[in-house]
Amino acid sequence: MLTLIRQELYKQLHGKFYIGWSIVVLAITLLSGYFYHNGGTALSTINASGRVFGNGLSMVLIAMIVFASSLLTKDFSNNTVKYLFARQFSRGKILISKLITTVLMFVYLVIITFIATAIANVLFNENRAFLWHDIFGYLIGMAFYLFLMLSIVLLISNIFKSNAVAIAFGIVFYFVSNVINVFLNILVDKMEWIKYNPLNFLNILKQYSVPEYSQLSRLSVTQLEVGSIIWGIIFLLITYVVYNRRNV
Amino acid sequence: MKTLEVQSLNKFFGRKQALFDVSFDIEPGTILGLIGPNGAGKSTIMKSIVGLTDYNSGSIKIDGKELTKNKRSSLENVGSMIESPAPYLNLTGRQNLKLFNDGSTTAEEMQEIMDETQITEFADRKAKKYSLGMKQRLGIAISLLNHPKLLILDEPMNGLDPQSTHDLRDLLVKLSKRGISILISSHLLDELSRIADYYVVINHGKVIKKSDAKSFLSDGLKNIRIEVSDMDKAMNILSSEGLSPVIYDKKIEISDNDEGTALSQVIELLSQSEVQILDVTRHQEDLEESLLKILSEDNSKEAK
Repeated sequence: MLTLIRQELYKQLHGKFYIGWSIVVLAITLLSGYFYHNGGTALSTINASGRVFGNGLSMVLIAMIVFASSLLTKDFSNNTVKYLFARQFSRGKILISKLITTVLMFVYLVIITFIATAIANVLFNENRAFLWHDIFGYLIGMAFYLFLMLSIVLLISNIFKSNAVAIAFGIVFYFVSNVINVFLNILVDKMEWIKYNPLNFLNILKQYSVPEYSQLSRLSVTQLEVGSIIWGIIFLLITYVVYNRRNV
Repeated sequence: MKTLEVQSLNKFFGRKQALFDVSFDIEPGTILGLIGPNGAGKSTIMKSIVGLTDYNSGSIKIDGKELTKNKRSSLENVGSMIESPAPYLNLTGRQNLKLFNDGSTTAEEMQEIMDETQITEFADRKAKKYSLGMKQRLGIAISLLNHPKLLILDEPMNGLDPQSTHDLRDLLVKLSKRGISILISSHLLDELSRIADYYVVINHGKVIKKSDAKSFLSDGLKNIRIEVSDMDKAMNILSSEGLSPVIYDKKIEISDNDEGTALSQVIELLSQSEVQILDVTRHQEDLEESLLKILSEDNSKEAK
């Protein structure tokens, strides 16, 4: 397993993904820090380190969807899967090593966001107040949201052979899931069980910031947390079954 | 102990059966050529051995250890290049080798592999800039990492220039002398015939012939080719005696046996009829001719 993780990290360290997205996350976080702290009365009155961090995390979210979309497909698209599968490692281990790499990539980008938020706070925030509570609130909400979202994206991307199509589909799904969610929320009035559909649990990110969102999701934060984990695990198990059956 | 044992392998693609009870084995330090037409099932067999595709029934043992979907430890001893090389294009050749090294190949051994496969010169260039031949050599270098006991090479000579093909041939022979078993498929039968110790012929997913290289070729008929002063007259005489002559390259060709019975008969018949014999040569079928004949016989059997 350690060999597989080392190999996955080796590929990432020699790729452009982490450098490219580090720059994007850094730039967006610093820019939003500048605008929140110096953007006129309305914005500057808000002590905005939490929001700055949240903006940076939005970029991390997009980055992770791109990352997860191509995580399995890229090997099929480039044909490198032949080397990956023709070895002593089971596909379950290969999948787990890729998931661990995803977590490490998330942690890395969060650290970049955190550093950029701190820099923005020093550079642009006169009173230097740093709202730890807001920052961790975003982070925990994002972790649950990403676990569910990425497990869905992984499962869907598994059906594609082209890396570009998988990434495009992952991004489209991210936006479309919000639209579908709105329709499903309307249906909840008539059929309450619909509130347990996996897309409703994606509301966890919003509900962490705005607790009143529970009126729309019809679920408490705890229910959303538990549900996200259960749905995430189900999607990952299906992903494993599909991945295990793929022939080269 | 045999390095590879394939027994009664069956594989279906949907309802279509692709492999029918395929069985063969490889002894340590030998080279087995897997030959047959396109679509015969050679790549499917190779993919099944390295776990790239499932098989429906049968068994595969590598170095005595059974290979199943979840028991894959036997693949520790296998290096492979299936269909075409597929290195990570954004990495250099050297980085690709480092990536696929499970930790058991030392830096010195890696350098030795690079030298043997002649990739040292371009090892620090990104693989996306490689020609097909360079990728092919890198693919073979990757397959040599981690001390394999069995090498599975699918068309390894594709894209190689004559010198590189010659060097690869030498390398494979050297590896087999070191005790590494090699399962190789190639459409370059002339090249294969210079290194293979055994052949397995596959047609329509079935093994139709297994033989060591020497008897595979000697099984082929020894033909005699005769150049004569009067082709039509000679053809009539030989046909009337039931020798089934055919015209090949402006010469008359007749099948003979090891004792040369037909040759003596032909000389006698033509001398009596005053047809002048200008030249006589004996012709041994090569691997390609033998294979084509075996396939043709098998296809006619199937047609019946």
